Amino acid sequence: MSDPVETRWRELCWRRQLSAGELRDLRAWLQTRPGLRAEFESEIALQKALGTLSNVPVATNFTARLLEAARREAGQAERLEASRRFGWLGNIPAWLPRLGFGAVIVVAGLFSYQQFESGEQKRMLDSVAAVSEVSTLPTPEILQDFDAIRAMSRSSGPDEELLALNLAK
Amino acid sequence: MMPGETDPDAALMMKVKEGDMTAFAELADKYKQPVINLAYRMLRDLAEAEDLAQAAFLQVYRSAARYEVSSKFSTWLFTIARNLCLNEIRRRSRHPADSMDAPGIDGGDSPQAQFEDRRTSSPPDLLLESELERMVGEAIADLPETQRSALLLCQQDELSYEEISAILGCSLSATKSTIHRARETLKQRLKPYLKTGVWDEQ
Repeated sequence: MSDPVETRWRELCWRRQLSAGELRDLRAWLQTRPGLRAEFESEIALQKALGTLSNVPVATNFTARLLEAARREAGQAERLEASRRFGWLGNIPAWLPRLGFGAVIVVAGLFSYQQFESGEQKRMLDSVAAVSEVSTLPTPEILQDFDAIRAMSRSSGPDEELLALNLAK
Repeated sequence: MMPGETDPDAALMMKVKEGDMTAFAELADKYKQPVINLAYRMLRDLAEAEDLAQAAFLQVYRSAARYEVSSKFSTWLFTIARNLCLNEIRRRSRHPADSMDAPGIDGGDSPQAQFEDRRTSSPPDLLLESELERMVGEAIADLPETQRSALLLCQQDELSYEEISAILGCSLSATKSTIHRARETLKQRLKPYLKTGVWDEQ
């Protein structure tokens, strides 16, 4: 098992270049461990070499381009959401509007028929109501001359033969 | 203590979750350099490194609605960036000649807003890298992917060894072992260039 102090120094060397004070402390610690000296020397040298890697130049408009792309993406996401909500409208088959129009015509016909029926019923009800308002019927005496009056109305005209005889006298 | 209670980036991310673009810009400004550095050292292509960094930040923005403070923001961001690097490396191995320059996210050819790039260092500056820097860069590029990731993440001040192991998805001891192997390989490769004798200088 490795010495925790050795591990700590090694892991520190891997992360960054040591300060002058840290180098002094490490050198003092290595005085009693000469076998590790070469290894730590190479670690420090490698870290120094890695430190020569400069920052890659970044376009000054990087953030502006990024924000523009993010806004564009947000807009696209909104459009996608809208099409997800109302996209089914695009899937309506061509015959559906015609079917709808036919259904409207049928409903209108049924409505008209129902209106006509209810009008008829109202008219009949009015008639029954009018009849029911006649409270008394005429007495049978008024019908005593019924046959004579009926016969008079049935006569087809003057008796021409009888008239001719009378005139001849 | 939850990471969000001490991590100011997590607090900014909670604002992003509420739609605060200023907070998002703040996070991007803070982390664009280390993320692009990582992507560049992984891919060795500046344009692709910038594209990848943008993709990483966009993924952060996209995931903002579902963001929960369960780990440090930087750990999450570097995990995304590293995964995108891995995808790109895999894609390159399948289609070596293709470029990552894909159409915009809407997939169309619609013109995008133009922003002036006043880069402080021009591309030729890269050519002026010192010989040592070039050699170190090449040696890192030649490392196996996991060793390269581990070594580069180890150079990020804000990441602890525990966080590096979380990004790599392996145990702490495996992470340290990977870093150790990467450094041993680099020491062998760069032996003629490494300046020893630090004790003699003092």
